Amino acid sequence: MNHAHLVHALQAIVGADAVLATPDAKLVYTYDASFDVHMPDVVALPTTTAQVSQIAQLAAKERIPLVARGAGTGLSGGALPLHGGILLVLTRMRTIRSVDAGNRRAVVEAGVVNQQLVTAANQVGLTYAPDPGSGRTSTIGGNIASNAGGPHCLAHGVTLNHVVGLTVVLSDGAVVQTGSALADAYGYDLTGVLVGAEGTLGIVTEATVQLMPQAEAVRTLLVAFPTIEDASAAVSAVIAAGIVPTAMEMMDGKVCRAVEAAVHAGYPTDVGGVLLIEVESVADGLDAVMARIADICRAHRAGEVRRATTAAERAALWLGRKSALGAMGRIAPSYFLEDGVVPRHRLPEVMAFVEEAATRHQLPIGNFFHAGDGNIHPTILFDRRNQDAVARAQLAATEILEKCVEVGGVVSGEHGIGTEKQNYMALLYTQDDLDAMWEVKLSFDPAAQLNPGKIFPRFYQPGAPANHLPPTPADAAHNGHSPAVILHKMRSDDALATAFARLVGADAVATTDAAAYAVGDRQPRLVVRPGSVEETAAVLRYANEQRLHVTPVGGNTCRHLGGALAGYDLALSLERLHAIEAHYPSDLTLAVQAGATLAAVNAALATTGQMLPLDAPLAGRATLGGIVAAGAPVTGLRRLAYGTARDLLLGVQVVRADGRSFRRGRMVVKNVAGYDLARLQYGALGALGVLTALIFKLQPLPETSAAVIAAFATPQDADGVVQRLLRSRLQPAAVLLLDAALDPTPSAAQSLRRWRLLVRFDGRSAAVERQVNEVAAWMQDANGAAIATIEAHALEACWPMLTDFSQMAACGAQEWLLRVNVRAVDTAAALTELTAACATDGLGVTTLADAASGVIWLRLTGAETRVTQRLAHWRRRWPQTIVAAAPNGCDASLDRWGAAPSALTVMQRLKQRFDPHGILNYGRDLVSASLLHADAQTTTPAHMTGMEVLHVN
Amino acid sequence: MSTSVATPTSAASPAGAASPAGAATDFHGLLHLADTSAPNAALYDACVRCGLCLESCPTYSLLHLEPASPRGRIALMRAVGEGQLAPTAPSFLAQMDLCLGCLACQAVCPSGVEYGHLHEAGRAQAAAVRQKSALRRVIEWTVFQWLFVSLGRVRLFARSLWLYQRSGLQWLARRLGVLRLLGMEGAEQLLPRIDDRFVIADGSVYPPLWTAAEQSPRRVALLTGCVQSVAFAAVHAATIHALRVNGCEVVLPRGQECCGALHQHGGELARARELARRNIDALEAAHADVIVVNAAGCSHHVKEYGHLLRDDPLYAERAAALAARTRDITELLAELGPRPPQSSLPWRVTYQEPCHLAHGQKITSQPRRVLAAIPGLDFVEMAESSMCCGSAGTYNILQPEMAAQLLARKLDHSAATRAEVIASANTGCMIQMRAGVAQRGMPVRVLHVVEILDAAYRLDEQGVSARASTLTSS
Repeated sequence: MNHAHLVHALQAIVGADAVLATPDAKLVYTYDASFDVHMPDVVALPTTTAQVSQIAQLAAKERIPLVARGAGTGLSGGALPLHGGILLVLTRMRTIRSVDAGNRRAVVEAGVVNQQLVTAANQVGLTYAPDPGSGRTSTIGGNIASNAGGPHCLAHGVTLNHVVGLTVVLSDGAVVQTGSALADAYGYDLTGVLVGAEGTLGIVTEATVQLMPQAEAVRTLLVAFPTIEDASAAVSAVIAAGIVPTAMEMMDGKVCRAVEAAVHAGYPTDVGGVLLIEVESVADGLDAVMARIADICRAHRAGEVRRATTAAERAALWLGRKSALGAMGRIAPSYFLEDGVVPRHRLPEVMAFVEEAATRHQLPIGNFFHAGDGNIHPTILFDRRNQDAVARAQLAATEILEKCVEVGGVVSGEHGIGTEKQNYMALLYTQDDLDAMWEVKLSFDPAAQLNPGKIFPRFYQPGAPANHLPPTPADAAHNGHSPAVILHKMRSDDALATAFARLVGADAVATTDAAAYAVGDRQPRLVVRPGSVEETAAVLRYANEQRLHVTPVGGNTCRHLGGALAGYDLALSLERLHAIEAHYPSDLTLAVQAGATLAAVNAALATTGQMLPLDAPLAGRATLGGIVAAGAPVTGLRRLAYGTARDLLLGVQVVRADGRSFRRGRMVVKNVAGYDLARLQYGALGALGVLTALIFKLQPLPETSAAVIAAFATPQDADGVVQRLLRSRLQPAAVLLLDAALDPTPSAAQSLRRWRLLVRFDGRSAAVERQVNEVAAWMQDANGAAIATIEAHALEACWPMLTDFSQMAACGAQEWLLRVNVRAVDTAAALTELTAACATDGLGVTTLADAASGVIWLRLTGAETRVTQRLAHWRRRWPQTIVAAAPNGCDASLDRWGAAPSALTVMQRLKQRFDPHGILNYGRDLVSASLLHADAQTTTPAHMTGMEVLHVN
Repeated sequence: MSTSVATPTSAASPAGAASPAGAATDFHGLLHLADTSAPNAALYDACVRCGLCLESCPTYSLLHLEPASPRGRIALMRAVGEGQLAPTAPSFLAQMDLCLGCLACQAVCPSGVEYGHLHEAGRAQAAAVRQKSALRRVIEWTVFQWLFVSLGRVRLFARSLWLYQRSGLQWLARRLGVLRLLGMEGAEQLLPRIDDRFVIADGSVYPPLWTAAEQSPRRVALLTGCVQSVAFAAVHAATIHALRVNGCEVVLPRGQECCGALHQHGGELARARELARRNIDALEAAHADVIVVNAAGCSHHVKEYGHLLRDDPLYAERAAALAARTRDITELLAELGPRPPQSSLPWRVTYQEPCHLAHGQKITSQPRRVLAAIPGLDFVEMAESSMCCGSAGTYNILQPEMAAQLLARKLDHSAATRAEVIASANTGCMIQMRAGVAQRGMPVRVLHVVEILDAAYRLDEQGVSARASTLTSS
């Protein structure tokens, strides 16, 4: 197809006025806010997802690169058409589809401007947290592509933490939905991988984002320091003191002067550096926090400490901070804006290095950055027409990023890799790491047509798989059950034990205690407990070659979760890998092996006043690897305050089915260097690889916590208080609606009412006290009975009973555990309906619901047919209803996961690429269960017979 | 596929525009000052392409097109300047025209890009190479070279317009559809209603109505302007009276002309300079402490005289000095207090910010302070108050479609405030808003800020005389 035809075809899709094809018209689409320049063949401005889909089909048919672009404020060249092709400009897709105040969700088109969304959210008392400096111009689509951060991400997290669902056009034009507007989604976390993928995996046309209440009170401090090193040290000291401000921004003296000239906000111009510090929360005790921060700063040689007294003053200070990049134009016409992230405690050293590099290369370097996150933005200033200066600037950039990597950091925190940082990827990743990312790329975009040539180093070549046995055609058809495999599987358990004993030592292999590793009603033929990552890799490599079915096991607390396994040869127990690899208290980060239990880790962290706030059931047995792998079904009850493992996970080490291992993520809180392989493990039930180590973001232990509980006759009676909470600016850690049977307090006996509402607060004493009192008063207003406060000590004692309610380790005869996701505001209504149905059907039921997230747990007792009939009915109403546990002996074909996600095809391709022989937990997770099901429907009876033979233990 | 901006490709420009920054790039033989005939490289180099300007731009916010954004236009000017693009390139020509020159981008630019100066030069460059239609040339010549070079001619033209509007001819023309046939229906509606009496700067001096005992009154020279003097006599009357109430002596210096903003906007720099020189001569002769201008476009332009004439050996210094003494009326009143009226003015008022006040002069709080001084006034902010209304000099005539969209957006925001009065502070905006309000049949008046303040002062005076008459009758 020649150019004229292409233009004509595009015009037919989007209209003549939405296609730019002449060189002069395209010229302004050759740049973004980075240094590079690349010319597209043609520019198209679609207005609907359908148009994007049609264009993608056209591009796929003609094999033309397709590159998405938002407002063009990217700082790494992510939206530049490196290899030409169609540039898809999404700025005309700027409709805010809905803002749902009660559920704290908004649905927006990709071209909606960040500030536009914030303004819309503000109108209903909410806000959208990610606030990149470009926010008044940049689009949500662009923010998603680069996992944008911003000053306030220190407390609130980055774009990833606020995007819950996406509408995506794949490279073949297929339109899929990822994630969910509800609190969780099952299957692989494609949303998490698409965020930060720079448009190389799919074109995001719509996003469902999470909104949060605007803070009740805000305090803003501007603190001047004699040197930037002093300011850096103060940052670490504040965090180490257990204070996590909402924002801690640094600007050096040079930047202050340029910014002051631009906005006249009152920035001091004769200082080494300033910190702009903000804390937000409920008002009580906030001034004391601010005073404490000021004291810490003074102890680090702070000069002037100024508090913004009016909203206008605060706005002016922030305008200054957000104008910093543009203000660099006052110093020089071009820049390389670096985006390294380093462990916070290494900041002083890294800043000294940056200063030294500036001197050595005789170039001004401006520094304005997210100090609280350790996310530095050295901005190397030069004149693009001076070739020598350009070369020196490039050298300085490389040295600085090498330094970041050397101290344990990464090469991009929030700007992305684009074209500018591609070759730095090799500093950070091994061939195996990059190969794992390439599997993701090809799973989404098999022809590699979306934004081609990006993210991976320019010289990257995919490596050969470590597996020495090439897959046979039979493998592809039968998911690993080739005749060769059958031969090996027929071998005795003893022969297997001998083989694995050679790999990991005889002590680490057992055939005797298989019952403890049972999954559903299956027991493994062999339990293997590798003592290192290398041994884990060796075990998997051999198992893969021998086509043995492997299930990674942590504490086996989710024994009953998921579909029936296709086979269970090996339990790969991670219990020997339980060491804490590193803990940086002043960074609030932890690296830990996957087999460590949540309770053990929290006990160790408690000595430093920190915690990993995951709240998973059976914390004494549940391992961190297991918690991440299980995903949504083990999310904690305090997710409102602390998020889930999806939010707190910073990095993973994974051994793939073929024994190759990769790492993604380091001990830094922001990282947009390459695909987010960590998120891909969340909820994947180990189907894409075995987690061996994890890195987490931590939280300071709250000063105190307390809860208030009241009795209500019906969920509806309590609903008034719940709705009031959802629309308030209070900051509860948990809002639970539960059966009186679960009431952990003596009030259980004081009221015959069937329901309890329990609201928990964590935080500063003053704030907790006031909020508890306020909610108690609301409960009073709503005629709650037996209102009682549960103080910190008692709360800690009873909390495990609540979290363990949803355990999936043991399941009685005729006992079923269901998890139902509903809209948060509908929780009470859904509870009423669910329990009424149980009464009608004569099913026994106990329930616990996270009313702030719309997660309902039902523990049912009753006959299988009654439960499954009711389940089918409920799933029509609430498609995200899973059977988290079912009694042994129930129908193996029972669909545990409910409706298939619309992006199932991509998930299946991921599974097939990461585990081509289907050895990992096959049949258990949603995706391989679907593959197994499809397999069962298409294979011949003869093969079915083969499988029968295979799985006789 | 990729091109580098850093290394200009061989120039395809007919004018050999690959010239270094600042050198003469004379495409047209009309303008001879090298520095203003093409955008200055030092100015466009200050743009680091951060894109923070995009959403502030009215045309971008309607079209969502990079070429129709400040950053895109700067890139086009830069490409022409560096020889990558011929100045005849359609995108360049179209965008130089489509830009309103509202300066909203300049106001938010962290890098301090002087977009206004860049755009003026770019527009002049585009004007010089454009193949204009005969009609457009006739209109432009008439407007820029004949009509608005002499206030006498403006008055003559205005008088005939007055006759047209009052004689029934307008009614007839509208009725018969003649205007539609001529394709002038839209433009005709934008004609201001000509006043019955014109304000003629004849050297009159109005004494202050009140003076502080210990100091001599401030002497203020009023620039009467062109359109303002024939269609906004009421604004002048209010200006003079309000300043007198605030203790100023007001003089209307003889010999002044149109300020020249219109010409500069239209790329007619030589004519603009000539008018500036004549005004400097006239205004200096008044020996005033302050030059006051009550149309934001004009006050902005007079403040730019120093820049406009910076290469004129005879006028450069005088122009800069005069510019430094110039105040917009809202700015001056805020400086003076203003003296709070006693009478209550229970109007619901919203404020439409003229671009050349808010962005060009960064005067945003002063007009609001003036309105806030009026007792009983119910002030409501409208959304996007500083977004251009689409008037922009002759823009609403030359780019009617874009102007109409902007006006509609502005009227929607105004209507949402349920205000009965839209306050503004510029001739162009007021004409545009009045046309829009009339077209929609909105029960709303469009008034200058000073007219509203003065309405309260007039009530004070009526009150005093009323009280006085009560006293005498009793």
